[in-house]
Amino acid sequence: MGSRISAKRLTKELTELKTNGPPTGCTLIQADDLECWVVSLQVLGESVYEGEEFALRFKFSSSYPIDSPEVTFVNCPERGWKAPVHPHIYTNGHICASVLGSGWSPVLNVASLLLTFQSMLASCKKKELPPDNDRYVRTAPSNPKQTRFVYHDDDV
Amino acid sequence: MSSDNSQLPLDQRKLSDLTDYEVASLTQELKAEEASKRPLVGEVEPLERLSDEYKNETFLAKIASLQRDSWTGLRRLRGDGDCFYRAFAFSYLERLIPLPPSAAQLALAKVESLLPLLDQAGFQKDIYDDFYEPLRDLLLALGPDSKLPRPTATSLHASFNDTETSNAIIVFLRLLTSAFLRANADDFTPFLFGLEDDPRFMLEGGAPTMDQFCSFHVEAVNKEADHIQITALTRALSVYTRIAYLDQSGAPPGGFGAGAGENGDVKVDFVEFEGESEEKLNGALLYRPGHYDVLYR
Repeated sequence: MGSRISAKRLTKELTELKTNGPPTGCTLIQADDLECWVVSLQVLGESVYEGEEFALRFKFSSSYPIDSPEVTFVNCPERGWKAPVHPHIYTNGHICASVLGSGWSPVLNVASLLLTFQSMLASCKKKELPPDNDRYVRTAPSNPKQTRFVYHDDDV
Repeated sequence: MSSDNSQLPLDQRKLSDLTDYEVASLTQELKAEEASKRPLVGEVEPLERLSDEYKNETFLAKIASLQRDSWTGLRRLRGDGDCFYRAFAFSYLERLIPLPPSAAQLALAKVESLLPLLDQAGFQKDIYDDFYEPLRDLLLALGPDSKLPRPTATSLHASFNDTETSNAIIVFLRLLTSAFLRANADDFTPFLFGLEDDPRFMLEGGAPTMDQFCSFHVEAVNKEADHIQITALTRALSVYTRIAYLDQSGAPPGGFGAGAGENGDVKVDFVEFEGESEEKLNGALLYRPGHYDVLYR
């Protein structure tokens, strides 16, 4: 019985995304598997990422939404997707954001995360990699939820 | 990113290099890891077993004083950041079992009356309904119109050890707490304080806003409840709750009454939330630093 709430919530979220659409600038690319979705994302208005398209992969465990989803930026040259150059986003697509860790709450959902990442990118003034990018990418676990990020100046 | 090694896992860094905030995060992580092996809610066991675990004289004297006061049983809860909410919810529902079904009906009406606060707080009905359902079903089953068998202490214990039921109830109580705090922000904001070097609240001079407090310390899974959350939840539901503070000090945090009686006789402080008990209640929560269990007599 481990996944009643999880399946119920994901079905609701998916129906909502399909009927009313995701936030402006985002497109649901893939959700054939209820536990793994891909959503493309563009930053609206003027920003250092103008004209670029990114994609986020969401993986949900059976304890979603009590537990946060695993969210990473997709690197897929065929589709032209690359993780954005941003001080809190590693080149392997991992994101250092408290909203995916200790700041997660079960009332958040895919749509609210998409808005959060859009605004995280929109507010970036300068494209810079995290200072410890190389070391992190060398040693990072494949699932970013296993990394104990220390969140700094962001409140996302 | 501050110091050079700040991206190393917390447990690989020198404790002295960590800020208070990081130490608190690490402590919570380690506790959660260790706790994941215990049942969410244990069976009632004799209180005297607790004496076997302590060498500290203050603790032993306080346990003895509880026993003299005829507190004899203890139900242990898993030591994760949810233990207050879980202990509260379990004890709240367990106390309804021997009462007439109208008591559960009243309790359900109270909860229903609070739902508009959740909407006001900006929680979507679609989202909170999933978390509300298990609590509502238990209250309905304890009520007068139930066609289901009436829950017993045993079946309640089983429900609370079903991770999904248990966690949904906790999330719902967290949302109620948060909604009540937000709706009464004027009363509660003066009591907010942040861990001084929590980087998220630096800009605001150390104290979080009610919105930040609710997102990070109430709604977030696994965040422990402090006095302010306990006050809000018990007040929202109008549920009389008392907590026995089994700690080192003479008085619990906040300084209610004196711990040490005459002749150095140590007594346990009971802190009451939400008014006076109208009847002699046989339930209480037991607080030990960082943890809550259920106490029986």
